[in-house]
Amino acid sequence: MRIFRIPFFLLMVSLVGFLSLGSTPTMAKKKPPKGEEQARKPSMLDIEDCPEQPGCPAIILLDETVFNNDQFYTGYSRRQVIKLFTQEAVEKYADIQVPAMKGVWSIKNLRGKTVLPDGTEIQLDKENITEKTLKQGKRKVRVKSATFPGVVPGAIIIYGFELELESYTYMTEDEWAIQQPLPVYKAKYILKPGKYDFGWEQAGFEHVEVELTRPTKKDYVFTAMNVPPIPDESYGPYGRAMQARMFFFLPEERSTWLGSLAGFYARFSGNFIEETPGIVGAVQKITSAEDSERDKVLKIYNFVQQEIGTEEQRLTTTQESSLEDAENAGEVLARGYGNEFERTMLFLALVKAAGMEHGLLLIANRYNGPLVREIPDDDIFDSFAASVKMAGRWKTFDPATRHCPFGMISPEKESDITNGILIIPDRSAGQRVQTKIQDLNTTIIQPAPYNLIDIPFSSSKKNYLTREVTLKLEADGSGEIEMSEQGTGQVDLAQRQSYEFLDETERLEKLQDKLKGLVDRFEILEAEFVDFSSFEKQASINCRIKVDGIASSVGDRLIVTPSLFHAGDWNPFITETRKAPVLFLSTRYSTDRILVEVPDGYEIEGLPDRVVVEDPPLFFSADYIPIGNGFRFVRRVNIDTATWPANDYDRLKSFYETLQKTDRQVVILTRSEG
Amino acid sequence: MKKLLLVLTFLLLIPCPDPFAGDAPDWIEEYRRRPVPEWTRKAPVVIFGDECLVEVSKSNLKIRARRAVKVQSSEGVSLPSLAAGLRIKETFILLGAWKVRPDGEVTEYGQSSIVQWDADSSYEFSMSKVNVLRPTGTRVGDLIAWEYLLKSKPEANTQSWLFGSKYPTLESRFGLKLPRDWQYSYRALNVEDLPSSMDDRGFTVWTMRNQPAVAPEPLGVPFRDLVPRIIVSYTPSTGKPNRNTFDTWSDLGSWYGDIVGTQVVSDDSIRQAVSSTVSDSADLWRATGEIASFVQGIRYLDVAPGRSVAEPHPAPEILRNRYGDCEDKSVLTITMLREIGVEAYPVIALTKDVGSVVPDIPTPSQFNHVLTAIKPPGPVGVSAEVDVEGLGRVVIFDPTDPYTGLGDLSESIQGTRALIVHDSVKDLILLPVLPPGASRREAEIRVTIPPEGDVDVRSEIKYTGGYAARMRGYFESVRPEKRKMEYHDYIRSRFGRGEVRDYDVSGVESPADPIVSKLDLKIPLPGKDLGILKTLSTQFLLPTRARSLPDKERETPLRIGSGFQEWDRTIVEIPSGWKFVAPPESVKATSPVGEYELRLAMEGENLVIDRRLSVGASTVTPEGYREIRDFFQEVARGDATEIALEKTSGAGS
Repeated sequence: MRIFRIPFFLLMVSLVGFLSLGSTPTMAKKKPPKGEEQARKPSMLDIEDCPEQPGCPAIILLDETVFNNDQFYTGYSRRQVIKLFTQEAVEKYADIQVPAMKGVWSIKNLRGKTVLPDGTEIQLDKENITEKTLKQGKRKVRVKSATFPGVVPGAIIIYGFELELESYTYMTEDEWAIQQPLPVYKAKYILKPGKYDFGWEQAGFEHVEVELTRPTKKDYVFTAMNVPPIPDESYGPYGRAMQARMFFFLPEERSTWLGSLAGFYARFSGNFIEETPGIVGAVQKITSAEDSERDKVLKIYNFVQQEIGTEEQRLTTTQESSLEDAENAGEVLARGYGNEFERTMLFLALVKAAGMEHGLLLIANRYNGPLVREIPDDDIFDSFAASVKMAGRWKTFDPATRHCPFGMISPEKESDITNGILIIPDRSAGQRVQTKIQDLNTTIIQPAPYNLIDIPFSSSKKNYLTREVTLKLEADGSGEIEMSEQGTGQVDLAQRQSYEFLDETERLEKLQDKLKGLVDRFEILEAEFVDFSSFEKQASINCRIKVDGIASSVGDRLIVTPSLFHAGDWNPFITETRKAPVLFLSTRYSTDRILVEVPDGYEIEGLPDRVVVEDPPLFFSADYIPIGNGFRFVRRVNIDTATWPANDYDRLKSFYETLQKTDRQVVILTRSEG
Repeated sequence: MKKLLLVLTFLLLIPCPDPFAGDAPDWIEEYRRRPVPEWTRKAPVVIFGDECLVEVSKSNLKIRARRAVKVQSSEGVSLPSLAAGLRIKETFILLGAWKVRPDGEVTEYGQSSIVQWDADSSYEFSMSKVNVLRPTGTRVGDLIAWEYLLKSKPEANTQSWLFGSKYPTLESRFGLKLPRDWQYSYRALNVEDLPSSMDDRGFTVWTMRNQPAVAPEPLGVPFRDLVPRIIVSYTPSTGKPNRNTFDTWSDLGSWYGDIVGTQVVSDDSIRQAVSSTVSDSADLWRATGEIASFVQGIRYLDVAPGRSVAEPHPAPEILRNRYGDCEDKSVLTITMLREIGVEAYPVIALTKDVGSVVPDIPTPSQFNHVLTAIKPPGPVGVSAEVDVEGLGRVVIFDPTDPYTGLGDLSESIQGTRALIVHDSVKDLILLPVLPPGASRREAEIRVTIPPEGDVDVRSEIKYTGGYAARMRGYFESVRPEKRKMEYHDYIRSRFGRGEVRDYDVSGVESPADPIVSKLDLKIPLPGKDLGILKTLSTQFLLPTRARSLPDKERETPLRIGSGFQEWDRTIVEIPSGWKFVAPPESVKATSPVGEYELRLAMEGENLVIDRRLSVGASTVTPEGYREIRDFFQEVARGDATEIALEKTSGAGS
């Protein structure tokens, strides 16, 4: 017997609706299951809207999964009944697609039909199914696409299928997606654990009430009613992090999964960096024996940053290219580029060769959801960083993020909670050992030691944005703006990530797009993008912009809104309540210093009072300072946390309301007499 | 990290691909020896050579293709996929693939390194695929190359070839070899001179060198109409008719008519659908509209059945499925209309975004779409009506477009050439370009400003023709119940607060109807409120379709695909004790593409702002671009007009 676990990514594919259907005559003759019968009840046909979410395009009336280990292999089946209300829903939800991988599992007993608004049924038949085999090297992925016939708004589609694993193959983990992009009237998960004990735990920012019943001793039935769709909130985490999910696993995994993961990575990273060609020679070239620990690490860091190219773009374009990963750090060095893992490991290999203690950090990025130790979920980790012991203390580095300042880390890898584990590379760790879990003879990865770590947010003082602006106002209300924008830390990093690899035309277009949202009717007279590829200097954008109608001309008055770049900002936080935390890209202290030069013959009628909001970690101030015949507007916004909890949303909302209101403050200039 | 886990999973499951050290063939070495011209240095990749040799035999077709690409920057590392489309009934055989390092080290790749993708993943049912090779470990400076063979039995005896790409191309060759007794003719497009030569393998070869990167400009002509291109037609010179040869447009029409004819079949289900769709069979034009609307409601799906890319499904099957591609929708329209005694015919077309039809080369490969020509029961006076020699007046209708009603034409086909499939039609027709008034927005907005507090805004907006078609897609995507909530959120996000008291939209369901939107809002003053002085933007409620043209110059023509009109009237009611501060002057602008006027006038106590914008479908040369840009800047200036109110002395607050 062996334990087999379906890779989560493929289950996700099925859970988002890309499922294939087919049918066998035997199944077609069977009486429809109860849920499907319910779907044909007049009451279901009459539903015209979601009870809790008026205006929804469709509703999943039934979403049922059966996980059955009570036989000689794991049986896994899924059924869905969906009512479609709109043409848009017909376009979106009446097709399904599923990949099956030859030799791993197959899709069996697939069936489906459309129930029209008048109750007529149209069976899914082979004409509605297209099967296409895509060759990927010697592997064949069979993709079945099916589309339901006759679907119109008001129709119900019903389908089901089973996944068939090989004999004596069992799944020991599963993830039930309780929540979907559509509202779910009834979500049901039937666990038939057989002779094995299973544990379960709910994850996701939105908690859903799930009722557990035991109709028989063998069955655990989990039911959730009226499940709302996955929230879509501005500045929220990724959909999966929001989604209410239930993890099922063998209880033994709860305490060992992190150790096993650490074992796997300790071994993998150990093999990657130990005794690999070229590393020792490279570190001798990069550093010298006289260097301090810090200098050594700095030189190695700069080497990886500056000499080793990134490969992320390549990796994200196709899965198959991941087959081409380097086998060891020497290969990364020889190639001259690598993905996030490879660049991090090359850094660690060089640090190791320099004789320093080192560790690999596996990180759950903030957008992917919090790390919950009780839930065996390898997929929560999606980022890497490096740790080096210097003067007895572990320091964190992010060599793989191009232009990340030394000693800092890419902002999504920071958190206000424990979000990673530190693993010491060790090729002797993580061996596969035969063991018995419950009565399953299986192979597991020997757990290795690890440390839970948290990488706190960097202070906003390190992530500073400065915008120096001069506005030369003309009497006709037009103006010329000279602007220089420069950042530090993660703000500088974000700027570079936006512009570095664009050519001049693309940079200009990007700047134009950015300005479009800020000011109307402008023309960029000149723009300069300075030091975007430099590893020594901060990047900056300098430009001159001509803007028509920057001030309103009313009789003998000019009315100008000094907050040039924020007066048109929309408030992203308008909902009364919030389900997910608000995630800002990074902590940030931004300052706009705008000098407004008043045209000849005009004088300032009066300047607004200072506005200050001090509500740590939030700060905002707007100052209007007279200078000669003009004035300087200074706007400071400090958000010294990158994650704002949902239960404290009101404070943030109120802060942004003040911001929006203040940014629309105007200054009146009056034509001087005579 | 997920990527890494995937890698591990796959490594357990499948053997690795098979790159191995090898030698590059002479043709690659020859390319490598050539210097890289200075003018290509900034490009991420340079195509050293791109070659397509077509060998025609009596029964099949072999295309032998070669491509060699040099990577010049880190951005280019992710680009140089070698990709070849694969359509139904085509066979792809890799003859060789290589990566050559700058030092001459060669890695060779085999068939198992090829990965197949869907040609377009948004069309799940399309059987077209793309064969892709991504050589492992590509670096800046590498040259990657491949050679492959495509075998097929083509449907038409024509071939075409583009001599350029998004990247600089140093040499591009197209060759043709025919059986001894065959003949060919060709057209070179977007290039003045394209001489041919004969190579020692018997191919007639056309070669172009040093082609710069071709990048279409925004609102410009499509790539296919910019890049040098050749279309070659060939045929046996035996004088016997050949089913794959089209000497005339009439031949092409007959060929397609034969394919479609067998699928235009009726049965009880069709008759029943017609009967339940048509409300008054005596009013044939109305019944035609109802059937048109019915077929538009059937969803689009790219579902080629497999025997031919051009073959639609039988009408009853399309009706049962309630989905189909453009050909299917045309077949169903024709079949249903026949049931009420209205004749209709397929129309083979090319959408404007892809390119334009070359009028003297009859081949199906020039087209990508099928419309329907409907013979109206009498004069109907609609914009999409055309007079066709030999057939009389027909109304061109696109059942694939769910938003454009019968009698109207979408932007994508206005002004394009198309072929009506009918025995009496011998030539292409030119589809009409609709006047601006055929696509129109008319709005009446009443703004009531109280002495203090938020303003009331009531509006009624009517969209017709193409304007309605554009709005229909937007309105249809949100159900009425949610529309109000979404608008409420929009108002609050933009203005900080506000209330949508009523939002009613009608006419969305039927593509032939105008859309009428009624909106009742309370929002903060859309301007500046300074206590004794208020300003108000004159255009705060409705976005405009007027173009924003930031580029100072253009290299290729600017194309405004369809015309439109916006006629908006805003009536501003002011509270007692307030007066307008010298209303701004009216703005007027004219240009070859349109006219604009913003007129402000007092009517009693109210200010009336009349805004009229009329833009016609046009193609503007680069030389004429400046004038058009200035026109739209004038429109933007007019639209930014603000009015001001001030409190009169002695007025209470």
